[in-house]
Amino acid sequence: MNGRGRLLFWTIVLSVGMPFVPLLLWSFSERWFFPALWPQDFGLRAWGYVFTTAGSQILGGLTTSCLLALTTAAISLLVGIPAGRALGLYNFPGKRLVALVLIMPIIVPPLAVAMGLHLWFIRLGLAETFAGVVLIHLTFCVPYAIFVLWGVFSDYNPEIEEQARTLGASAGRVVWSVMLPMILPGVTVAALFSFLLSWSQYLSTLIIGGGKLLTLPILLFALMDSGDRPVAAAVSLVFVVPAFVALVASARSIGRRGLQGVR
Amino acid sequence: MLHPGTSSTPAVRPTGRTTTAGTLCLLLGPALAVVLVLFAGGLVLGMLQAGGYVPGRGLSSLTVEHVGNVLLDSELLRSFGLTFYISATSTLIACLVSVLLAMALVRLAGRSRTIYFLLQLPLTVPHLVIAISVLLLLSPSGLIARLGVTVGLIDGASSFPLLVNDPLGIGILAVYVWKEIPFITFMLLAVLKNMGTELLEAGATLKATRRQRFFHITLPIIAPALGASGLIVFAFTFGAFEVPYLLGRTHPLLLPVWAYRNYSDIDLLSRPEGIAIGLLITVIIIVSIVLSHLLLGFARKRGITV
Amino acid sequence: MGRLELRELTIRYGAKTVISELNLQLQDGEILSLLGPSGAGKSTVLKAVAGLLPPFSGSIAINGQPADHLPAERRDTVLIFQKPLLFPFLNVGQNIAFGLRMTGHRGAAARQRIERMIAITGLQGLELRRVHQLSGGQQQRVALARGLVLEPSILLLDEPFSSLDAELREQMRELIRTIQQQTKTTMLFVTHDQSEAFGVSDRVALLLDGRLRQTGPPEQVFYRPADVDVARFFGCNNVLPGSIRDGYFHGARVRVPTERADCNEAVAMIRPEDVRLYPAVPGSDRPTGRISGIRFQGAMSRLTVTTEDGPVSVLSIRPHWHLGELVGLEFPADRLHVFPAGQEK
Repeated sequence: MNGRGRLLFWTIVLSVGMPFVPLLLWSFSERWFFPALWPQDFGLRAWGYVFTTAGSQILGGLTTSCLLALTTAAISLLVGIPAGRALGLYNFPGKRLVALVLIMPIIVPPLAVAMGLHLWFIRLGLAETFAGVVLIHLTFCVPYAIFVLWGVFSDYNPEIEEQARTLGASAGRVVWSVMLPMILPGVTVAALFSFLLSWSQYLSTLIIGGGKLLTLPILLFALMDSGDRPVAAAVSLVFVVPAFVALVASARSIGRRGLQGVR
Repeated sequence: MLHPGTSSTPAVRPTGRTTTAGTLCLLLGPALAVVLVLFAGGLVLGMLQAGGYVPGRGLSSLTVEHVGNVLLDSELLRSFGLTFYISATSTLIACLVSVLLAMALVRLAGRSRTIYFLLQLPLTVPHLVIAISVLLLLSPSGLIARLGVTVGLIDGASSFPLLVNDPLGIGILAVYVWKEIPFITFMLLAVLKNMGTELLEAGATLKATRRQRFFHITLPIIAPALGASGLIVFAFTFGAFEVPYLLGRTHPLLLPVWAYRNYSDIDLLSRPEGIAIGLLITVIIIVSIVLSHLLLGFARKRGITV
Repeated sequence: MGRLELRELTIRYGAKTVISELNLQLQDGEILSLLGPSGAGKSTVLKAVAGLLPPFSGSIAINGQPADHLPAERRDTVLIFQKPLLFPFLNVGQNIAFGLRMTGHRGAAARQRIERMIAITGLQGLELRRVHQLSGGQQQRVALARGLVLEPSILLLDEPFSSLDAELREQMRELIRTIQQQTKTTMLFVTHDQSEAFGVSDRVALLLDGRLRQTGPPEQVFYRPADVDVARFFGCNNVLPGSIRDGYFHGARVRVPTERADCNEAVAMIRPEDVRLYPAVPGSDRPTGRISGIRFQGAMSRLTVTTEDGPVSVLSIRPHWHLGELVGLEFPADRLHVFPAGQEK
């Protein structure tokens, strides 16, 4: 890399890494009074709290968040793959309208939707339940999965399926052994999108879950209000790790396409 | 809408395949059910509640009182102004930096794998975590203030400029800019890579200088992607709750925070007003989507397919 | 109008030398075709001349002035690419006007130049079309007009018609000649297609393996190849082994006068259409062979005749021979090209 390339590289390293510096320092600090630049005492109190004192609560939050995100991602794929196929491969009357309706919830925030559904979810017994929160997360995860898979299927040539049929594959086999392997990178991206969206969701979980469904973001918010900075910093880091892992684990399957389009 | 992968819009591709209505219903049915029942249904139910609808009493209980209260609230304009300022500013800064960053990265070509990976990291970090980090960095007792005291730039916390819970929303802007630059950059990189260097070479041999090549070739080519991702960012920041809740001031409130405050108020009478504000945000964002759609349609008519 | 002079031009990609020590001159108003197989480095030469690629060594002069230090946008050349590379966000008229807009030409004079080019390239009435609404041929004509409107000293064309079908290509060649007559623009035309090079240009320069092998009028390079490789490139694929002694080439059954120096191993080459076939005369000392293959190719048929020196390829109009027949061959002395064998690669 030349000089400008190196400058760019280190600027990016610094900018990306910057927010993690205070989180790491605070999570390992025992005593850190203003205006010291460095904690007076380092220690593992916060981490001990996270893993032992409040261990069951944090672990519970971690499990709830993971289950929630995985369930949402799985359903999003189940619903999104057929819809993406329809939009990517076929022309039909009213396609633009259908596409607009399906894609719109990506941008429109879940705020008003969650508020609107809340009262009815209470009457249906869905409020404060896992299923209810999955449903509210689906309102924005499904459109995102469709959005990604639409792009995937518009680059997909279905003639390869006909070829497989002439070579003796059954219709079910074609979906499993031909279509899915072909679109795997796109499916991984769509799954990752849905996972991350559900994973970092706060407000709609709070409204529908009513504070009873304790996901990590709900716990983290409560900790921020309690003002214990070291513990909040440690939980923040716990919150970041699974998403990192998901990214790294899927990096191979995603290939060069990267996470473009995630937000 | 822009879709990832390639930047061209699938709808205008000459795929031209058709299938039976039955197959289409099967493929699109579940998705339409989710979106129409949950999303559109949620909005309709929200409208009914904002209208004061009480399930037992039928449509006659509808009133414009709550919506009127919101629209006539003297705070609304200030709140809207602040929300708009935060969204517009963070979108503009993120777009500007992203264009420069994407141009620099596309020039680095093959040697940027590590940079690509680094830039993907912010995409996976929840807004909430970055908001907490910015609080620990920029607050009067934060890391930056400590650094200022240590090198002798400021005397103490009180002489540090207010960067969180501040009138200009610096802290909120910092979070959004950090989160959204990678998003827009990756959108632009796809287009720039697709475009390659051929058109620029054609431009050079047609006597366009470097500057002219940027403004007359590169910029028109990335404009649709830039516009679309910019509007997505604008809409998101306009309706997001966590960051302004943690880093914003209590007065005036940003629209989403105000909406939730009312919704979760002990006084159940302010609940319809909360929903009304939520719907107002939705309306503003739908208008911005329609705008972006028109803009893209316009761009498509002008032949921007790259 | 313009002159181009390339001196000792060497171009490298990393450690790989693509073009070595190329010397070439274009006269005012001339069309020269740079001909060579794919991968010979033809486009590389054009990019270097256009200023899009820095040469490793050597110099480029336009109208007698060194141009090496000038970036592409300040050189008096325009490159027309293989693909039209029209700007998708501009319509036809705006595309053609692009270069003038960049150089600050506006107003009636610019308008007039654009209209003239539109007329010459036959694009009247299409000015307001979106470029993706045009056919491939029309797109390439827009690309031509867009370059020509800048009135460059040298127009560089990089296989501009290779993506078009045969009939359209023929029309485009005519167009290039017409444009050249009307504008007197000096053109350097790169192609891998012999007939295109012969049909378009005043002179042809043959580039093989990064080196210029022969330059001259089409008939000259075709009928008087300078070496074995050039002969082979133009389809002169019959090779008779022999030697040169006392001003004569001696093959197994041929003897032809030559001006080349004595040499123990030499070859005589002849084009398939120059070989004549006769009914075999038993006992003659003329070369004979047996027809071992007949392939009908339309106007001509390609015959393979197996002789004691190996197979000989013959192109013949309406042949009355049949498979397995014994024939006598005649290699007219004035059609044989004699080269020392060491030259052959």
